[in-house]
Amino acid sequence: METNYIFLSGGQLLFASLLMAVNIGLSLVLKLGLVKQWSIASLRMVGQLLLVGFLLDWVFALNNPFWILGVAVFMATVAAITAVGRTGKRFSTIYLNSFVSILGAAFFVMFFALSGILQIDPWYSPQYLFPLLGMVLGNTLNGISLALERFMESLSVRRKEVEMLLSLGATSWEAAHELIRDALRTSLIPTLNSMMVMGIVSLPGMMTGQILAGVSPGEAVRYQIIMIFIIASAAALGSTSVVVLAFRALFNKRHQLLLERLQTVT
Amino acid sequence: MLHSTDISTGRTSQKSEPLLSVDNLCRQVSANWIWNNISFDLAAGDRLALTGSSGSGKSLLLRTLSGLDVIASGPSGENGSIRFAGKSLHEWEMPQYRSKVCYIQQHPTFFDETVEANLKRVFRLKAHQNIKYDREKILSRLQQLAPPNTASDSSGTNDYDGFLERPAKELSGGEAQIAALLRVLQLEPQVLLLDEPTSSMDVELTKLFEKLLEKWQREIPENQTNSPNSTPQRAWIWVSHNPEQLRRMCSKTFCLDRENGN
Repeated sequence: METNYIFLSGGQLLFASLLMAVNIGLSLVLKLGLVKQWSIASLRMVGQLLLVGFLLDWVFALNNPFWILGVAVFMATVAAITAVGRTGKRFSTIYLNSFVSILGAAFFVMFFALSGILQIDPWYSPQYLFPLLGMVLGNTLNGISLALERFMESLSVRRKEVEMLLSLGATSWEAAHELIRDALRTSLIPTLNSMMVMGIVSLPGMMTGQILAGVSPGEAVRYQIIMIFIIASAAALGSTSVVVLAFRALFNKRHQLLLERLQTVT
Repeated sequence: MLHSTDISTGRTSQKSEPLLSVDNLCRQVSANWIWNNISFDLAAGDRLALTGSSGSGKSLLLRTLSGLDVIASGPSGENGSIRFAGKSLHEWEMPQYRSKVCYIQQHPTFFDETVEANLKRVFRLKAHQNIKYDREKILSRLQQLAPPNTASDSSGTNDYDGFLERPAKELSGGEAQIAALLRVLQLEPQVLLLDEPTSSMDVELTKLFEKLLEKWQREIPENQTNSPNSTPQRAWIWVSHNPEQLRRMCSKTFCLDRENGN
């Protein structure tokens, strides 16, 4: 298997960076004003990836469960903060809610996948945990971000509808149900869409990577299928959890909508 | 909080206790106190006009009475309270309370479906599963709102033919106010909180609407048959900028400007 794998030298990386010269050249010719941004983005990308490569090599070598889980929780924290960062409105416990949702969803699917499906021993083996976790967090982050944004936005836009239902005797859950459903649908559309065209329009990155590393396509596809199930499940769990927590933060037990708890980010 | 309400239950006998009793309500928006220490009673059968200049917080008071807003504590930390039918608001399940003390927004909201679907939707709520949609009753109430000249028309048609089948989002302002009232009356409320209920209606329709409400107030609720005295038990609090209407429809007045002299 490893026979077809090409180890990349530093020279080859430099050679690849010449492609960015095309982008920068285009920007100069067409006066797009993107030269600075392309340069910064390229440098950041290279720097971050080299750094994460070193870090992962180091964690792999340590093979200590506390360090591994520590790095995993750190990754989840960054994902939770990023998910909230894109929203236009906030409430006081939003970061905590995002963190609980993303960590809960990721932990559940990761444990299920690593010890249940793949039966890896020990289940925290970094070679499997980190690649899977990275993909799970990336997708859950998007789901949570979209769900939060949509739910908070529609609560303020459709406030009259919610309060009409409340004043007709609806419980807060009945009054918000339509908005909760709408937020979850919105947040899961990207996941559903990509599943629909998987393999036709897009060849997923992980599968492509495995094929490049010499795994046969038939074999790589099996991994990809498992991966998609894991990702979809984590995104659904994380989004649902974060919307339910937001619902609990923005209504009280007296079935009152507490819109004053929502602060618009300026 | 609960202790003090227990004491007041002991003080007043069950019969003389008002239907709705408001004690020491305060309301702050941003840094301004809109109203302070508001107290009044609404007895069964009362028709109370709620007046006050624009911005005096009439709608805010109706929202608070319907339990949509949290009762805030006053400037010196005192707690306001609302009691209804012998129980403090805290003892009521809000869905039950809100189906007895019904708030009608000035500009009502509907789902994007027919008027009838909107009326029926109410019965999907858990709180109303024991009552059923009654089309006949709705139609007879609509009949009361038909202008008299068309009622005499031999074809038997009136302005509200097909009203139930119309998309609720396309109703005119006055028609929407009618639909909102019909929707709420289905719940057999005891108190109506009316926020300028006829503001989008012409003079003719306003009169018919008032008549409908007067008739509703005199009706004996289905679940209280053979009531010994036939005095009306239903009550309302009516907000309007039309003093003529308030004179016609209300027998008492509570003015927010006067109560809030500071």
